[in-house]
Amino acid sequence: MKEKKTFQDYKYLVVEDQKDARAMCRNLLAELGVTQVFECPNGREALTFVDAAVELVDIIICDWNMPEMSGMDFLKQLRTVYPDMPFLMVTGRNDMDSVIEAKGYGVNAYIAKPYSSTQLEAKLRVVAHRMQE
Amino acid sequence: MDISLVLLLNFFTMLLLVGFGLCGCYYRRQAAEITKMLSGSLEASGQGIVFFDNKGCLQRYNDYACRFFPPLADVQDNRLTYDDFINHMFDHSVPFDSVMESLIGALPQRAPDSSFREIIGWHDEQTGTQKYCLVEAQRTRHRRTVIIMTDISAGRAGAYDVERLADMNQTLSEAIDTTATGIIISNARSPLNPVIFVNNAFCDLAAMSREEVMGEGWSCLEDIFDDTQGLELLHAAISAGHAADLELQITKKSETCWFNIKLSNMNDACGAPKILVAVFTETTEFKNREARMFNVQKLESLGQLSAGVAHDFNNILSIIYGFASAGCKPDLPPERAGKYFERIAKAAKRGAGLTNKLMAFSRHKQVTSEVYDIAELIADQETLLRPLLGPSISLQMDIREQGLCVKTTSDTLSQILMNLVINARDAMEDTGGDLTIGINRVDSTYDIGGLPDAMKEQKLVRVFVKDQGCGIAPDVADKIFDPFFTTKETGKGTGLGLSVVYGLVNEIGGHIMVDTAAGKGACFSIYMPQSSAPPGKIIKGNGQDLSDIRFEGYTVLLAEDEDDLRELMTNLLEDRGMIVLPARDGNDALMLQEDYEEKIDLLLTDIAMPGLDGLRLGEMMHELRPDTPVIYMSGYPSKGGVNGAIDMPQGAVLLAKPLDDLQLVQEIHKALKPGQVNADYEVDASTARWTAGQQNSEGKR
Repeated sequence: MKEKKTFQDYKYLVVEDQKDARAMCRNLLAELGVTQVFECPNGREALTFVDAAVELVDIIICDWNMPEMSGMDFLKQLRTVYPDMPFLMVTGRNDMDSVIEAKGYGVNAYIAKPYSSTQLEAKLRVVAHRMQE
Repeated sequence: MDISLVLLLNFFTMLLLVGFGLCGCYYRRQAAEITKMLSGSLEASGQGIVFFDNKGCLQRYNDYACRFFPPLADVQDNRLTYDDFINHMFDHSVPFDSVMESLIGALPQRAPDSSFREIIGWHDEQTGTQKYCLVEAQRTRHRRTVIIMTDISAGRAGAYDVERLADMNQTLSEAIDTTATGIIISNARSPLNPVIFVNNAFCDLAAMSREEVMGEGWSCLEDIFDDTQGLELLHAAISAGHAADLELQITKKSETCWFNIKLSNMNDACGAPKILVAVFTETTEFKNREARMFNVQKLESLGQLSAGVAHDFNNILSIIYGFASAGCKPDLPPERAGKYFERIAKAAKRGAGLTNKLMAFSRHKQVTSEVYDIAELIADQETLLRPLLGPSISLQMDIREQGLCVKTTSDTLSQILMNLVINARDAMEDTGGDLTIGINRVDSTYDIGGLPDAMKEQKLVRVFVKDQGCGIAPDVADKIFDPFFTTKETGKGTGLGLSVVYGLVNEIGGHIMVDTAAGKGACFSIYMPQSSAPPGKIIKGNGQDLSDIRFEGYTVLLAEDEDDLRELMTNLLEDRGMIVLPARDGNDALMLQEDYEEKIDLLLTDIAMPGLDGLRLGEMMHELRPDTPVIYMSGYPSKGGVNGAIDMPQGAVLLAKPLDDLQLVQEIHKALKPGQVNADYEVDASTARWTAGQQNSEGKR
């Protein structure tokens, strides 16, 4: 029987414009046992990265509010080429309307700032679980 | 010739002469009688009749004819001729119009020497009115002329009345057609209530043609309304035949429009329904304006709120900054650093809670009313209201009764309370004191002056906000709900707060009153009808008898990896009225909660599960949904895991398997309604066992 992958076994791309927030996310992921993490400062670079090396990305963790290209615009463009790429949206908008809007664009899970490692783990487990369904 | 023959002939001749003479006398008498009879009839006739002979000379006429043709009365020796008559008639003829035509039919071309019809008019001196007469001339076989004159004054007046009414009807119809208000009139005498009138405005708003509506029952309007509930109300009012005032939604060219519908009925003299009139007035613009005003006011309270929240935020930031600085010291023992980080995390969480509340308040959304337990709703607002008050004001909650339900939206009630609390705070700015928010039940037996009649017979809930401030002077007390009325200094308030409260209270079918006197504080009371429908979630039973208790509408997330046991518990919980989300393991439970958009009221989880165990799941739930209580279950000895003792979170509830169903129910009750469970009633878990579960959970270790 094929061994089930856990969320720690996947490769992650973190898209976040704020350096500190990016570092925090990387630390939390390390704390959770995730070892393969790549980073991009905005949506445009993330698109280039995915285009160039999609095999290095299993799951994308992306901030919503970013200059140049917002997380939502990045997602819309990503979906035209990779309709099934797992996507975890991070944002400060913690209300049901935003959740519904995000899910409408094919976000696989949604996490509100500020978040803890436990919350991040819960969301990553949901995304990983969905990938194996 | 024989003399006797001559005598005989003479005798017969005489006899014949006498016979003829006698016959002549008889016939003459008969003729005279016929003539007399005819004259009598002529005089008795309701029409004027005049005969002219073949030379055009006047032969006979009746008295009635003199009324229409006065020269007849002065006639001597039948000297009046047919030509005189014609001349007189033409002098008095009146213009012929459509009304007369409808009355007597079209007139032939005038031709004085043959049959004709003409109308003459004259002023009747006796009655002082204008009279009209139809004159008809007919030639007889002997070239005589008979003139028949008929008084048509009454008929003509009647015809003009009919014409005037028709004209008025037309004018009214046109006027109703040009109004922007949709109007439908139906015949309430017929059981089908068919539409007998519809105006253009209605056809436009409903996008229906007149033909589609006329003669049809009210059901023909079904497709135009978006809101089936509103349509049901309309139907109910129509079938009950009473007046109604409704708000309905109609989508026109993909735009949602609001309409106010006023239904009124008119009864006949016996009191039976005659017609039903529905007037549709578009209120979309009004609604939009109201929404704009709502937003303006909301911004104002948001400003006030932000000031309060900023103060709280600074406190939180001080805590974070303080502990972070202290934590940076190089010689700090690791245990202490851990404690500092805990404090920092706690403060950050508090801050996140505050921003969530702020965002929930600033978001404008159209929410449909739901039935809420008012006590829960108000308790929920407490955290948001507290930061608004300065240190000199203490917020007291006076919840005298739980379980009182009202139909409202949480958003509306939140704004009402926010405004009343800000108002009370400002009133106590100088003095400080207690600000009390409370609720109590009001039965119809309470005599509350000033309540609308419709509310007097209803069971009500009173929500009050009481302050110990400066109170309201009697001369301004009746103005406080007016828009832009304020006693505050310029720049300190727009005066919209209380008027918005007034509007919102009306919107949820309530009534607001204030009890105040200058210098004696103020108590604002909002009376709302108690909802007879239970709230979406309700605990039935009082906690005394656990076997009967039901948790209607509460959602439980059940994580249990043993299939049989999961199924059994699902059945048990569903039998108690709960909505169960059954999860195969921890990860599955995480998935279910991620997709479930409603509130999860309880997590019931096994501890030992593959993939993600119950304890870690509980931890995650505590972070993801902090309001969801957790009950743990374990097949291992109390507080024990597979490899011995496990660390349970502080205050965690752990149930030992096999489960006792009454104990489970009691723990669920405690978790859903903390503080309301009778502490004396405790189930001995070691003796009362859940026998059904015992067998199924036998292999579970």
